[in-house]
Amino acid sequence: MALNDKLLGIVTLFYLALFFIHLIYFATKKEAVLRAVRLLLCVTFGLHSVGLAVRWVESYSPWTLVSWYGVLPLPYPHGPGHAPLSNFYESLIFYAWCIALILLLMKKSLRVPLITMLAALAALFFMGYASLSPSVDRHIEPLIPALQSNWLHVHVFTCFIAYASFAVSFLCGLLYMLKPKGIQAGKLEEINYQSVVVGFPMLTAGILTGAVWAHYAWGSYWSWDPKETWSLITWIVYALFLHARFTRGWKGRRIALLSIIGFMSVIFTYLGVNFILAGLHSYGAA
Amino acid sequence: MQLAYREEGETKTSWFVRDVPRLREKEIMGVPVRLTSIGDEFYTGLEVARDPGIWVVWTGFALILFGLYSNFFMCYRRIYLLRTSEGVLVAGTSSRNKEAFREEFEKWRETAHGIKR
Repeated sequence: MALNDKLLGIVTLFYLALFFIHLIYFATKKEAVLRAVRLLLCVTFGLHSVGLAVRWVESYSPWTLVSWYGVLPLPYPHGPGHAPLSNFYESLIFYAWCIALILLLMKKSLRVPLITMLAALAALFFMGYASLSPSVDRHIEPLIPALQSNWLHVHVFTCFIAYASFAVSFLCGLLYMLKPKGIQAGKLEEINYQSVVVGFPMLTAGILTGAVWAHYAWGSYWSWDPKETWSLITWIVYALFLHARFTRGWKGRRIALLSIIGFMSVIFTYLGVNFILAGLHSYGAA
Repeated sequence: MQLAYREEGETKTSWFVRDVPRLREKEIMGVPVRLTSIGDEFYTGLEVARDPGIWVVWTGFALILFGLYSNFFMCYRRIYLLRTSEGVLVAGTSSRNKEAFREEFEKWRETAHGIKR
């Protein structure tokens, strides 16, 4: 077992701890616990980053391949060597990392412990699913030729930052619908709006970098591949969200509903397309 | 190998077999056709693209992104100062991100509070 697996396993436990420390906060309501939450979030994010970096470095080592395959596969004397963004396992891990990053970036406006708790739970879910599900392949594998490009980093990063901020927006919409005690509805709407404002240009950038990359790798900007089509649907839903808010002055339940619909579309773009519809982006599956 | 041809608007096919003399040579629509050899050849498909207008596309992409970011992350802000008999009345408005502006405004007001004249 490689070092990155151990580290990422520990990170999963840290997310669990982050979830529990939130529960302690809700039981005690002490300000000191909230400070511990913030500290733990920083530590978890740091360790997670180290885990990803180690996985990246280890992918260059031939020993990675030897430990997986028993022998060194001949065309790769130096290991496959690529950023940990290439298969479904790595994308799940990276999604959790992006959620933590969004929590850190938005920590000024995200002063609602209920949202950070649910986001930590979501990150825990992705980490746990990635590390425990038998259907998820954890090998570091060589990149297929279509993925061997520097656009990989930009494209995946922008898309997943968008997905992560839409997850925060979804949590706000969901909480708005459930109306728990102790949270102002206005605060939820504000955070919801801000996370979409972060996510929407990122999604746009993701689609555009994808188009640039597709132009070089597949020879056309847009091939109506299921993933492209669904990312366009997602883009339209969030464009509708912003448009309805700016020009129609939509508020409250309708906006919350739109953010929930938008996230359903994100999940379908991310998971549904991989498992249900085959297409050019199918390397993301299993 | 199989040969397909059209005769009086109808598609017809006919088999040629190299090792059977009877099926090696045939007359199709009055034309003698003979199968002499079958061989493999390696080939590859290459596509060559010429895109003289590509910079227009790239510029368009850059413009979309620039427009989106400047739309969402830049905003009009106004600060009003009105001198009254009791002191200076301060007010402000922002076209976007009002919550953040409120906080900034409060902070700014507090620092300005102690200043006299």
